[in-house]
Amino acid sequence: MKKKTAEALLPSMLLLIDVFYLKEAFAGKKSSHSIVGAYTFPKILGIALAGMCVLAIVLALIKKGDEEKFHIPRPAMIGITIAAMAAFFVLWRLVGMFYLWATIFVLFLLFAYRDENGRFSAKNIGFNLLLTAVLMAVIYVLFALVMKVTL
Amino acid sequence: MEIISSILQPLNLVLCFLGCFLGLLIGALPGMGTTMAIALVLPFAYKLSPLTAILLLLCVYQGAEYGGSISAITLNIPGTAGASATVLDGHPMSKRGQAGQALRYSLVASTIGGLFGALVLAFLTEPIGRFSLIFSAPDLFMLGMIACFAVIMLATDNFLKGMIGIVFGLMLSTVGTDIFTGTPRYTYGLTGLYDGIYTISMICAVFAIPEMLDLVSSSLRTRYVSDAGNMKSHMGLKDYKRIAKPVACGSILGTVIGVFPALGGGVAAWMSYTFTKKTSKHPEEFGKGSPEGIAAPEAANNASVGGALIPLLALGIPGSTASAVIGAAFMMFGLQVGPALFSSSQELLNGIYYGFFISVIALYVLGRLLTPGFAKVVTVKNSILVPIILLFTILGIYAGDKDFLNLWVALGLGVLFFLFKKLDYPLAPMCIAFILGPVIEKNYKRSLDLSAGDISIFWQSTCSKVILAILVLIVLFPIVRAVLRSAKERQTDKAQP
Repeated sequence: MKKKTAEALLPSMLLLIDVFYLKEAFAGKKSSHSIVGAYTFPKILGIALAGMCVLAIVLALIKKGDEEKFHIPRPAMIGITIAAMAAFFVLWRLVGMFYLWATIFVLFLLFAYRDENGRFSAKNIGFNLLLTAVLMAVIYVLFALVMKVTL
Repeated sequence: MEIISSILQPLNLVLCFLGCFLGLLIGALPGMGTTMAIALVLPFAYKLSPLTAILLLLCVYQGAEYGGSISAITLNIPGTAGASATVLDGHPMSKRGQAGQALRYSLVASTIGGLFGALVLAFLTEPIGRFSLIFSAPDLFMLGMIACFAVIMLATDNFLKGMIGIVFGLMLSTVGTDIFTGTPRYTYGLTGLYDGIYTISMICAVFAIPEMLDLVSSSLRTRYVSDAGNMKSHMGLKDYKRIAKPVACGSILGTVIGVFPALGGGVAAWMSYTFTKKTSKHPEEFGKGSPEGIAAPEAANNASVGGALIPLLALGIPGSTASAVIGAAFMMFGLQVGPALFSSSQELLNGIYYGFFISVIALYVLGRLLTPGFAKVVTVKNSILVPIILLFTILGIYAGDKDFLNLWVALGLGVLFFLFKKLDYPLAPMCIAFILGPVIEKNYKRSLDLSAGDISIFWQSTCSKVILAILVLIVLFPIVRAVLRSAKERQTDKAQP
């Protein structure tokens, strides 16, 4: 993707969010006991953002001679990280058992990030397991014993 | 005396040292930075008393400002923005086999700079805060706007992107129940949003998640090579004499620059370095491992910590992104920073002044004991750090309210802000706007209610006029700078055939 396309896409996305934001602001009831209602400030902000996003889109599209590519390195790894976080939240919420899912989450990321071309040495596996165990012990001491937070 | 004895309680002292330890550790890791250090520790402070929590964060702040110099000296990579000037002389000295000596200069300068900042904080905050009690709602509204504008005008190159960030940050701050009318806004029936977006979710979404995704994307396999060979150090009277002037200049410049919103430790360190080099008797030694070149920026970045807290405590305007996160800690305890603090929480303020000195002492003690160890830790690979930091970020967000919605909000916003970061949108203004949003909206509404909707209230009083003039100057500054720059470029183009 060209950088100028990405530069136009992000404000377009914000503009879409802004449409929903303004929709609620204009649908909100006017306050009877205050000159400035609950949605007066949001309306100003929403309109300002819309104007600035349109300007950003126009500026990105009319930019001449910018053939620079927009590239995010290792998109698969970013996707894996986000998906792992989302899966961790869902499983923790539905099943409970924080320490089990946290252990799997950390181990999964460690193995994904410290990949040795699909093969793992015993040293690497041992290190990942040891690090995760120490981390869980630290979290248990900090949260369960010191801060008295049930996870 | 009562406040001193309460600060000196074992729990407070332990947490001061722990805060400095964490600040040193996170600040020393390349790519983490001061704000990240405070943002990561903030969620764990919610169970403490306000004074203990603020002291803990101040210690993290102090520790991280010095910690940044460890990686700057041993790896040639500044751990924090404030340590970027330290690289110039710190690393050459380390390459000569004097890493320990370079770190000693850095620690001594950081400690003296931190003490100077503490003194100025203790003596200046009160008078400025008392003076600021004359500010009315329109003035406070415009002071909030100044803080937001100053960040984009002074700290970013792209005005439009900065403005979009500010407005988006302000929009996010409007989520939740309107305090004037009790109307729930943008909550979509989710009770977890009735109190607004959880501050810690927002801070982690701005500073932690995009940074971690960025590390995953770009430098997961980076191997850092440390030059921390000889960690021995010794400082005699001659050495102290040699760094006395740069430390004094750095301390003064750092504190003054720290007071100005958005400038912070990075600018303070560079200005101090440049000034010291220009006024030095041996400018030719700079860049080759000069002790003055290490002492000047290090004194400045730690002095800027005290400076940055003055506008936060006295006016409610954060002097840096890191102090904005500390401002969020006050919010977490239901305390409003600014003039109101002087009437409602005088004891807390006194505690912060005294505690600030303890934070500097803790920094020196830990720096002397642990610097050699930290010099080795900085080589830890990002592939190990990222899972650990992500887990602590998740725990920090959850532990406060125990609401899973906060985790989803942080993840969603974090991914969005990662895209912002990749397209060079500045994230700090967004966070500052989010934190100041409720103050800005409240005073905007109060002003218009007072004036029956007449917007001239914002420039009626003398005080308002002065503040408005400052706001206009801040807005005009980058425009004039851009015009002058393009005129200069045109002149250069014409001169070249």
